[in-house]
Amino acid sequence: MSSETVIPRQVGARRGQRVGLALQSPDILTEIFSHFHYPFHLITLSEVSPLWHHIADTHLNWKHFALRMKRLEHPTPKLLSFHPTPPFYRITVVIIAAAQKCTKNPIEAKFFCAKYFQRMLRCMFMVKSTGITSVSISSRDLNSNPASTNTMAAKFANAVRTAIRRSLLHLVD
Amino acid sequence: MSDTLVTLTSQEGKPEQVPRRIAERSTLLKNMLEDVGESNQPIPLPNVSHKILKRVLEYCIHHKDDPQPPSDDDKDSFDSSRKRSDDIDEWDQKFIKGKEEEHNEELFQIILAANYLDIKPLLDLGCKTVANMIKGKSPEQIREMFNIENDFTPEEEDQIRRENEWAADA
Repeated sequence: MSSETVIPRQVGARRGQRVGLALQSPDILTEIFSHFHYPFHLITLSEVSPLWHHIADTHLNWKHFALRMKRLEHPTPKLLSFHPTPPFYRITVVIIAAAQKCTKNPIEAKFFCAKYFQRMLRCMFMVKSTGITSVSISSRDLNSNPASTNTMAAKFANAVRTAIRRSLLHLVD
Repeated sequence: MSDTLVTLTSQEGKPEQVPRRIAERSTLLKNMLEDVGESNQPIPLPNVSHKILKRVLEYCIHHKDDPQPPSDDDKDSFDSSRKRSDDIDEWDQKFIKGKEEEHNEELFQIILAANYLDIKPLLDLGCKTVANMIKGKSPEQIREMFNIENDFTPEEEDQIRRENEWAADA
């Protein structure tokens, strides 16, 4: 999500002028949004209106989310120390969030993340040295766990592929 | 000095007398009173209706003995930017709930007044309440609840949908 793509505007209110007025104040929205701790919550808020989009974007602290999530997965700190930049924090969050969305089984989610992070580490070296930004990951790469299914692995690979590709472009910049 | 009465004048011009100690729960009023020193002049509050002023004072009276919240400069910026919303005490919950039929309207008026008067704990209470109302709702449900017009252009909506594709259920 980028604040550059949407111009923040004052929100309109169909009824209840005072309600609209409070929710037009960036200070008040900032206070309200500070109570949301997960990226998916903030992404939902960003879809309400252009002003909400702008404020939510400033609250999407990928580093914060990545550090909160690192406890979920052992390879994450290694990845973050390898490339501690905002796009990379975002990648980490995207991967973990995608895994959690694809499966409610925490062991399976960890497995997906671990496999993906191993692959990511190899890709990071490749991207830094060659500038090649396309990363491919197949569901077969993820599917050596008997507990997972082809469908689940494919779903996970699809969920992260677009975001990874976009974030890697930033890394090369 | 803290037992002296100060007069606050609401939007409608109606005066309300309160002990200075209560008025000073508002950082705005505290600073004003310090600036003007001893004075019997009423303090005009053109942005606050009499009804909401009474509600705000009700909150300030109940919390008159609470320690003053730390200033933003004193807080750790990382921790203070991430707050809990499930720690509202019982009295505060009842207070902010108000009358069911005018809940949203009054809640937002209290938030605006707390923001204007710079009463951080009250602003925090209002914002926590709104955050709790929003949690688990879709963007459309949030717009509906607060009467917010969806003024994204179709191009912007399309752009956002593509950006957030990864977060949507596959």
